[in-house]
Amino acid sequence: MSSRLADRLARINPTGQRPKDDVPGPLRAPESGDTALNTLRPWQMVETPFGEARIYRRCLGPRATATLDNLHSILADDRLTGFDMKRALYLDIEATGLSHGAGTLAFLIGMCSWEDESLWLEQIFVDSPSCELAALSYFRDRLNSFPYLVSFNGKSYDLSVLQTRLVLNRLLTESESNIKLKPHLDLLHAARQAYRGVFPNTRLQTLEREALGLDASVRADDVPGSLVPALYFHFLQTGLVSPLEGVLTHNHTDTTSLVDLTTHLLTLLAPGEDCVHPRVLYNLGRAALQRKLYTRSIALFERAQANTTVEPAVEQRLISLALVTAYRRAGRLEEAMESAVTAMEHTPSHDNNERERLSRQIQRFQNRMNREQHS
Amino acid sequence: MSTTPSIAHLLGDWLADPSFSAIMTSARQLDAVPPTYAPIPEGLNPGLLQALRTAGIEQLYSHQREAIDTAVRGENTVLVTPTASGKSLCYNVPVLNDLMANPEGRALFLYPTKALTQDQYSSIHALIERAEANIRTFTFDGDTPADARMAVREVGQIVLTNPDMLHAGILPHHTKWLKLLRNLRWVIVDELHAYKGVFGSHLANVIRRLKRVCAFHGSNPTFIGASATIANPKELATRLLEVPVTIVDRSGAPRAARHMVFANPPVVNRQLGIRSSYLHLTRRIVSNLLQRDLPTIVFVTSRINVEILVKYLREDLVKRNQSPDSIQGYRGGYLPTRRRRIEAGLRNGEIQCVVATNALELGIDVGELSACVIAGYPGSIASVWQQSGRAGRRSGESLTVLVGRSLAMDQYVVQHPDYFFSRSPEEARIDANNPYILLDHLKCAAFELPFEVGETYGDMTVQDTDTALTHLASHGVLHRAGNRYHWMDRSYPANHVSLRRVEEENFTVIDKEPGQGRDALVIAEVDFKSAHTTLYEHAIYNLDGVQYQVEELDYDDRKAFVRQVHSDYFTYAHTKSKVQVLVNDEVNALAQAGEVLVTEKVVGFKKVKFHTHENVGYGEVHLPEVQMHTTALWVPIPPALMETFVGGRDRLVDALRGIGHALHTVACLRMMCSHGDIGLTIDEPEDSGPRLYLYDNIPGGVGFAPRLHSLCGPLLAGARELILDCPCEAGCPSCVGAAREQDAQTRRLAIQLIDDLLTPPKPSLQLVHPVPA
Repeated sequence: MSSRLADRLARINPTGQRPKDDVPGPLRAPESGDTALNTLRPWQMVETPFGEARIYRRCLGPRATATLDNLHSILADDRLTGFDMKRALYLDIEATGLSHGAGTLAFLIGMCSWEDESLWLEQIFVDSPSCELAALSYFRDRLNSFPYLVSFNGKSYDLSVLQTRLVLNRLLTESESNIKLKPHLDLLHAARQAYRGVFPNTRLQTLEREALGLDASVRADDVPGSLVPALYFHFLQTGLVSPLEGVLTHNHTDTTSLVDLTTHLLTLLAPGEDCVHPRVLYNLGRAALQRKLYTRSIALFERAQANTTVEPAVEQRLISLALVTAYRRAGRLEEAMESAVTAMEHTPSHDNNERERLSRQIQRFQNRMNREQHS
Repeated sequence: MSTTPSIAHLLGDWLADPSFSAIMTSARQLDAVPPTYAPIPEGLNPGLLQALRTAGIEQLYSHQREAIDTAVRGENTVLVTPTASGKSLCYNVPVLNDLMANPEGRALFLYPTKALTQDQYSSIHALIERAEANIRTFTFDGDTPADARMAVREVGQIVLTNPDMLHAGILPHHTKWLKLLRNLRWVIVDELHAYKGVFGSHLANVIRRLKRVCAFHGSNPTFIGASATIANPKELATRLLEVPVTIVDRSGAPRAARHMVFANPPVVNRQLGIRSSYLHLTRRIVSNLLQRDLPTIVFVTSRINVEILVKYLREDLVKRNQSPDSIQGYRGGYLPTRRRRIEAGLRNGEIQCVVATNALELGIDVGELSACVIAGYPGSIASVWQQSGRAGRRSGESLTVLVGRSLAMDQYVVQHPDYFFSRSPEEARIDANNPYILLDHLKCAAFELPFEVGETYGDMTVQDTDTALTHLASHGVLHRAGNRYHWMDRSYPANHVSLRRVEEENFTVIDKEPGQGRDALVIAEVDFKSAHTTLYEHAIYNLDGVQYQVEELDYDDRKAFVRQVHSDYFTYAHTKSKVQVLVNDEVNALAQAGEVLVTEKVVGFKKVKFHTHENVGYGEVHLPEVQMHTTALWVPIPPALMETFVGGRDRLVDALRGIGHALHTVACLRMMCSHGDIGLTIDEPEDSGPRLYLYDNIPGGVGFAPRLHSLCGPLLAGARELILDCPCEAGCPSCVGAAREQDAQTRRLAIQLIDDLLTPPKPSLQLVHPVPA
């Protein structure tokens, strides 16, 4: 029966539905020494209760940081109370797929952290799926030794993948099974809050270029993220290590960018800093408004209003309308009414509906102020 | 409101009207059956007991009691009783009773469709509310919003879903469903009979994966299945669930009276055995029912017929100055929102009549329908009962009319009502080890958990499991490291596996000019195989009574671009097929069986005029061949017979075609599958004798061919009887197929050939052949 089954199966190609760009083909001929991972990095083999984990550590030297006391209230996440850049673990993984279903394996875990005044990069590499348990065990211990976690889209991807693999490897007990509850600054969410509509998108590489001003040469030989899984599969099948160089570098750049982006965003979100970009100020004001931080939002909108000569200008009308809401909710009726009048001035004369709406609103403010005066 | 007087009245009218009575081959009344009761078991949770009482349930039907008792004992239980016999209660009671005592426990309910899931959610939710139990119950399907999914995973004690979601949404993410999977005590599989053929073979694999993942998380749930009446419930349940099951099949439920009428279109050409169109007869019957304000559901056997009939019936309504909108089509290609709208319209009475394919057959409660018209035998007795059960679920007396097509299967059934009423319903067949389906699910299973070397999958041996895993590893999909096979591909395999078909992507139908200046609009989806016969260039594609012409078929991207037209014809495709034997497994005196490669090609189409159904033109079709590996049986012609057969090779091929036609009918009846499930090809290679092939019309096969091979003698005898009993002269679509020429003697020759095959001829007897009267 078995040979019969083998015959029947032989007629079926189980890879039929894979995307065409998935198989890289032979990348290049093997060179001598090309099968030794040690030719790529000076790895250390670190003992864990589940075998040895392959670790690369490198000191990156001092690096700029920033602090922001009320980060937790700006981002409406109390777990971030007391956030300290130097007590955080910066995490970025390379994995075998984009889904976070059970079968996606994180084969390279990149981490940055501070020791004294220096930033360190640490990469855990999974030689083969059979080494995953040791790698994850090492990662879990690292994760547990930091009170904060920083990632870029890690809430829905990196941490999801890692949590799944920790459960699969029985490294999480039921009580600690949700590592997603750990205090976690997801830079994607913070960056979206500030930069929506400012740059073409809010992907990490766009932010590096547009917000951090990272030199293009750093990403010159970058491996596109979409190729990363195929490069690892190629390594598993052939043992050739040289294509992995690009993956290690890509992960290195991503991980250190997390640190720089954190510094950048903490500075940007801090009040009183002289960000002049009106769209960013307006975005931040909207976010503050949503979180009921009225004083902050009013300050941000007013600064946006003062800066509208800078391109791209946010319409005065839009900012005035936002100010109406912020003042009204803060109970500052007179200023709300003034802003409504400003908004009216900036409303085109043909937009009758909007003008009527505003004049009714102004009337209501007037009535309320009269009532309050009488009582 | 009782519909009884109008149905009795209507039947009286029909019998009195010669034009109606002539087409009725049988009218039977199935008497009401009184209920058998049993007391509610002692020891149930008092809250649950109270809930049952509040719902007016003071005692149970005997089968409900029996099922509850076996389930409470922890036995895997499968309930097999007719439509509307209170099946849900049989699993709701033991599950709720258990979860009220074990709040950490979890239960998973599977229903074949989303709509059914919603209906069942309402009913279990009501029971929980009445019991004042705090059991968190959720549906989980493609419509569940992303932010609600977390709640379902974390706090859902009962999760109602469908196999597709279990397959693609839960199992691949099992590490996020820890609460459910660690504490899973019950798995409910309702509408078990719906899982036959490909769908069932897939579900069996999904269940294998579920059990594998449960074992990892340390749970071992009890299964409860519920099925409409089928012939082999124990076999099906055992194959689907792969656990020992206790069958509960003595129904204690009462049955309301039901009138069953069989109707046959009149013969218009006796010589050729041609009957008038069954769709016309259906139209007449339905129009008559609607004139009497009887809400009606019509089942037809194909999507195109839904559209044709909707068009006809709306024309009748317009003639009577009524709104055409009270008639709606309902079929697989419709987008979900449209389907939900139709279901709601049926319930609230805005829609008087719905014309459906069997998508509506499963137990969705669409409201108070009085009549059910089944246009064309749906291929199994169980389906007829199931479709008939759509009418009169609550309203008591109801009417079902089965209209026969000229197809042999239909003719056999409408002309032999005793066969229908005396025979137990269908056997449901699945093959969980169909190699295509198996590989797809092994990939999903490996994605979910690595395979250990030495692990077995389902009922496969260690060796077979390893063979299949090695095959996947050799294609780079799995990677063996140490003693484990790991998933090693970037794709998410469950997304590429649809449980409802074997492989290949659907085609989308795109309206290039939807009007009102809108951009191109996707209006429907068509499965890969049907696309070849419905979406070739110049085909008329019917949707909701509107005709579109296919202007361009982008085969590689699976898109058909259409434009609305006003056409007075529709199109039918001509298909040619060829069979190549790959492995010859089994040989007996009459036939052989094994694996084959079937190649099908659509070679052309004909244009058929609406109403008159005359041919008004032909066209060519240039589409790639569709190839399918499957299992088949074939009847070779012994060389001696080829030399001696009267009339020579041409006559012999005619005779073999005739036998094929009849044999296909008998095989489908015997397997109780629809005639599209088994393929028929007569191959006449130059270098050898002609051969008759019957094959599983599903890649990889689901087990028809080997079974048919073992039945070959009785099947040939059955085919002979069918041909002999046919009232036509030279041969007709109901026996040996339409006569090719006026003087054809296909019937006589076919019987002669069967006799020759069944009784290997002795030279002296060759010239004597029985000739039909």
